[in-house]
Amino acid sequence: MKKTLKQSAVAVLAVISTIGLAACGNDSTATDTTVATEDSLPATPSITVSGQWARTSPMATDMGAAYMTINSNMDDELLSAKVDMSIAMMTQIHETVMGDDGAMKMQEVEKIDIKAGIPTELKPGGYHVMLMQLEAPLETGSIISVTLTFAKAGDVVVEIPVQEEAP
Amino acid sequence: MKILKTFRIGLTALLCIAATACGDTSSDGLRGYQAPSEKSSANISVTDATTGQQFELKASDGELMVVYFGYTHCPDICPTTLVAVKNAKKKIGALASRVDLAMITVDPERDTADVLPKYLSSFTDKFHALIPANQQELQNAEKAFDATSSVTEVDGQIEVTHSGNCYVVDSTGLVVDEWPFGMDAESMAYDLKILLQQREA
Repeated sequence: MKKTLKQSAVAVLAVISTIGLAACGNDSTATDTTVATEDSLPATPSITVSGQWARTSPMATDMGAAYMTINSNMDDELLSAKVDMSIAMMTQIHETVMGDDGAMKMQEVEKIDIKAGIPTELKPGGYHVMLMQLEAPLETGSIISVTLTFAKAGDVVVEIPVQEEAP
Repeated sequence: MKILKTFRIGLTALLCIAATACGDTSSDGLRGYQAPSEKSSANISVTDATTGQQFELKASDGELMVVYFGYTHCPDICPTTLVAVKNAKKKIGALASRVDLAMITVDPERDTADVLPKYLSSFTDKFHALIPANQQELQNAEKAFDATSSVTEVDGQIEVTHSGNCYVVDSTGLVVDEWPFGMDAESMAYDLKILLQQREA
């Protein structure tokens, strides 16, 4: 009976969590709302992406950047990001860092470590998905589709709105 | 004991004087800062892409100019900063007409006269697109602000480094405020209002 109650509580929490996620308006494509049970917790990777946005590209440039917050229920690694070639010819994961001389530079990273239960932010001045050789400017109000590939969770497609600033 | 107390008071007073002398902006209530040693871009000029003439790095009378070193292929730091400047100007209403923007490209090979003015027009209609004619011109400008940059080719890709600060310059070329990367539009607007009110048009 005790175990049944516990299982019921987990089930109720799972439903509440799912409703909560839906109510928060998280991107449905990007969000895996599967809530793992106690038994399956280590086995089923689940990625949630929120706050995603891509910057409106200024005139006369063919570079763009996309940002987001990634949550995972287990330790994972973001290995790559891809967009359709109709959007950009090349996509890389970059990090902006400050050198000893105070100058800032961007560098490509092989992967981003995602820690279980700890939000990983891709934000201005830090990690970002870099869109190179844009086929057309990223215009405010449009939406681009980015496929993120994780070591454990596999491919996760994120619909990213283009806007001038972070939401 | 009394001697020690007097020494402490004296030391505190000296520190206060030193802070003032060093240009600590806390007395002005600015959210940006001033470097310990005074910076000035008076008599420093860079080629203006729009006019083809040398442009001296100072604001018009009664105005301020935000000077920034960047490049148009930068998808992260530069647009983040320039959007913040754009929004700061929106926040200060009519005062914005007294705020100029000068961007000096650190990547003059790619940021040509066809590119840089168009890029800047995405952020403001009051700007100077400055393209150093040679490395010396760039270095002279950077030296005035203690800024730095480099452009190198690594594995076929061009890597650019540059200082992320904005420098607010008055009509004498004096740097009156400095904004580190990440300063938000509200803080920029806050400083601009104070500084513009100190300089009646």
